[in-house]
Amino acid sequence: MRKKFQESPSLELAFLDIGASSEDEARAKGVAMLDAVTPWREVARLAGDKMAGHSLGLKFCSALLLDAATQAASDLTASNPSFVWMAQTKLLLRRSRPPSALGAFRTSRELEAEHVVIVDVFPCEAVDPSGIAIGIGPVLVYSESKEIGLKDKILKCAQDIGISLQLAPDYSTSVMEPFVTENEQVIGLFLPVKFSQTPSEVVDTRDAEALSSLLLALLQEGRM
Amino acid sequence: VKKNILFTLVLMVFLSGVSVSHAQKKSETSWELLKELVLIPGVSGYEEKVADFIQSRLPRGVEPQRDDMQNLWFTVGSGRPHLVFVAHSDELGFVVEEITLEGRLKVSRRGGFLPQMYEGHAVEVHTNKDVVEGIVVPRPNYSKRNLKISAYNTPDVVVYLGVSTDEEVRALGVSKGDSITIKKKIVEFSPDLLAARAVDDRAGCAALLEVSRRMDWTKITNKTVTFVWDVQEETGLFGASHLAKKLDADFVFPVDTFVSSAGPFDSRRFAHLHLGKGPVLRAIDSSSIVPRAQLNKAIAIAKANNIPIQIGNTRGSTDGSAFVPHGAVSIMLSWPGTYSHSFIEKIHRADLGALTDLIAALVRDWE
Repeated sequence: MRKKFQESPSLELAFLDIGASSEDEARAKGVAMLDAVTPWREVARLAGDKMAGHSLGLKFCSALLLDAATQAASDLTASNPSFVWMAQTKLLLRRSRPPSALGAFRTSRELEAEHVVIVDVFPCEAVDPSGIAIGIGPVLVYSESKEIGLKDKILKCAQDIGISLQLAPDYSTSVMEPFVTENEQVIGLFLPVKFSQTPSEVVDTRDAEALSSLLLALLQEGRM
Repeated sequence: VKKNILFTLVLMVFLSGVSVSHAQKKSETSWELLKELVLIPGVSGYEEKVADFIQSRLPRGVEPQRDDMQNLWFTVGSGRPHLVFVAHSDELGFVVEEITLEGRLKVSRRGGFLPQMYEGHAVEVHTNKDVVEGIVVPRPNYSKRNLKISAYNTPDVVVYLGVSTDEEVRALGVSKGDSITIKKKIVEFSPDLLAARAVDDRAGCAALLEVSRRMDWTKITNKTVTFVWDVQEETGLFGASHLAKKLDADFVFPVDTFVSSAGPFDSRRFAHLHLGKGPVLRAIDSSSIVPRAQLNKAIAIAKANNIPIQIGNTRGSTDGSAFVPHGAVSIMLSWPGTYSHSFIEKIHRADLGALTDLIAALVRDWE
């Protein structure tokens, strides 16, 4: 069994030790069916303004959006944007083609937005060869086959405030897909991450700061 | 009068507070010491900080000695028999072997463990100055679907520090030969159960340290007793081999893990002892057999002192086997532990407490 687990680890063979030796002891600890389990939360501080941790990229994205929304709150009356922190983005809508994240699908139906900016992570080594790397700036994700006015606005805004962007044309994700319809303009402002979906997802905080500044500038100046 | 009573009351409370805090410090248990000790880095060959900690906590009445290897010991009493109690202060880990032009670290392994445990996890590089944090890079194509799991060995271990040139690595103070440990943490399942890296053998170190602090050593007159915290056990019993020549022991009591087959994947047919049921007299392992007479003597001492014990046979060896060729009889003392040589070596408080009591009883009563 041990050898099998080492050679081909799988959830069917895995177990969690919570320091209990009977079902009653486990329940007495308050553990119940369907409780969520995550890896130990810890962050490693690396050189060169980088950090590493489990799911760190997405946490950064949520925090950046919250920060931008909070700071820009007083300037938003003209454009009246909606801010959404989507749940259930790791589950796919059954039989969706292209794959659509459940939470994103629900949000897209709920909001019926005309312009959508998705803030997400760009997994550098999962997209091959993308040429995208951490530490060079946020990633602008867009479709080349569609005229998207937002793209030019964002490029102009980035240029105005001195932020360099990396470009990922025709890259898409299961979070973006549900928003892509005839009427919607969908664009992604992504945070590049290294070693995504490992316990040590690496984020360059300079990328995060640049993305934060860009979001704020876009919101404050009503460019969206 | 009322004023005087009040003053006396305040004085008593103050004094009792002082004496309580002093007593607490003095009576720090092996469990509490363990929680401090497991967090101190001490890869085999790099045990200095562990030895420093232990030496700083030794009682005033003993005279510690330390050699260039960082073996630490003290001896009390005189005459025969000479009892040597030994725990090892080193732990498993890596050492920086090469700094690549791309600013990554290649490593060598110190001790026996599965390198794949480290893949994708945060580590600490212990430089001459500071601790530098890094991560062990996941293998190439790790994110591809249906990737066939390939073997992952020490040459596959690559540490990323966040920089991209060898010069940047050196600017961080990292150099070839620095030791590397996992970024340590303690999992406390309950007040009585924890898991951490380096419970093997900081639990042994903690037990010896508590006994050395609570014994009245002036009463040890009819025998010689030496407490040893030795080095480089995990890489070949080197510290013990060095000291065994010097100490001329009659009986050696190595204090180290009994690897119990209590994990869910383990066969219960061999080495199955329960956590929380008491320390272990390790009767037979891969390199020693405790003679029946000495085993019975140890059992009798435990019984006379109302200390619960378990008897077990297991694989592996201890520092005791380095003393055997020099004429000593090795009587192996342990606690039952699971997930040996992992980041989550598990130990029960009751076992460590009773093991500490057992060591104290053996020091006192072994003739």
